[in-house]
Amino acid sequence: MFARPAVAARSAVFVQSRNMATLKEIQVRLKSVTNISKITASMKMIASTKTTRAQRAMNVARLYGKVSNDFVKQAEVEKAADAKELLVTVSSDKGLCGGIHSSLSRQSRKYLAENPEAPLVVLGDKAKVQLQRAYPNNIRYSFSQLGSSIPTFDESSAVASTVLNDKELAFDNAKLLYNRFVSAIAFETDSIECFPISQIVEAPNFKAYEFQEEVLENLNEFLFANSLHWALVEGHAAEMAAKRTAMENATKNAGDMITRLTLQYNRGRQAVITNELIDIITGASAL
Amino acid sequence: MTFAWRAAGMNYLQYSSIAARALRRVAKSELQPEIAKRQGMGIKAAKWENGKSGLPTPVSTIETRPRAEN
Repeated sequence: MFARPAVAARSAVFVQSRNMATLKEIQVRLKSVTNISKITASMKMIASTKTTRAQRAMNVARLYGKVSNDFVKQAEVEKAADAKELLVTVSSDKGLCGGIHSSLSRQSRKYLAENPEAPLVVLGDKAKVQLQRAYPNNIRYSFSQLGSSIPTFDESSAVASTVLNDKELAFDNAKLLYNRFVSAIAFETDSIECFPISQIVEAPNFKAYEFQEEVLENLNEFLFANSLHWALVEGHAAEMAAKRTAMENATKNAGDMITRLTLQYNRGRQAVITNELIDIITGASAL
Repeated sequence: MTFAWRAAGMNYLQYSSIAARALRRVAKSELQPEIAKRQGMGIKAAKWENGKSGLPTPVSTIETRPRAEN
């Protein structure tokens, strides 16, 4: 007579403890996902403030880049057929920014597949890691500690100067691969071409400009640093915008997960209560 | 008409960085905080040979003697 309720009670406790373990797990998961969503929400806030600042700097850098571009376009400089081209991949060190770095390394790999002898200069650790797996022998220089703040012209000219001063690294043209800021939610991988003096001198409309040879060399070095600066600043703005979007998506996904887990937890809790009730009632009805 | 700095081995970018740095040093004190915010390059460069990276070393456009003051 007393055996039945005892057995019923023990099995009820057993079922309850099994469900409690699952409930505990769900509770732990719920807590961790909530923490993650708070982190991603704050990262999104930071990224959006950085985006506005980066965009302002980008608009300024675009004006400078436009000047170099205009000169090249007006003089109608063309690439020589047998020019030795240097590929410069402009990315950064920071992650969690969506498809920024993978898009750049994909384009770089595509270019290097067509030009396997081309020397490569990589700016930023993320792209370096991806490219050193595929084309380690093409890399001549890699630069790091980039991308935490808006690039200054001092930094761009330091990078350009290092590349130009290296006598072993001989190149005619330079192709800068960077991410162009299309909008707050879109970017596009694009390239800027830099030409050597020999090509500028041969350009059809070059005679419209009066240049001495030495001054032209100064200008060309400046144009290279200018284009690199434009690529760096625009790439930085694109990266901040992509980071904002990525964090926004992550927060939204975390929110969905929290809703799903809460429902699961409540269902589990109600199932435990219902089982307890059933056991109690069957036990009571057995008496 | 070769420029003296070109003959000394500098390129235009190094030359203009030195000029810019000189300008920054003589700027008025009201502008100094703004300037100080933009200073401080931390870029490191690593030279690669045969698929192997060298040690990253800090990059500076200006290889002149260290500053006597500040």
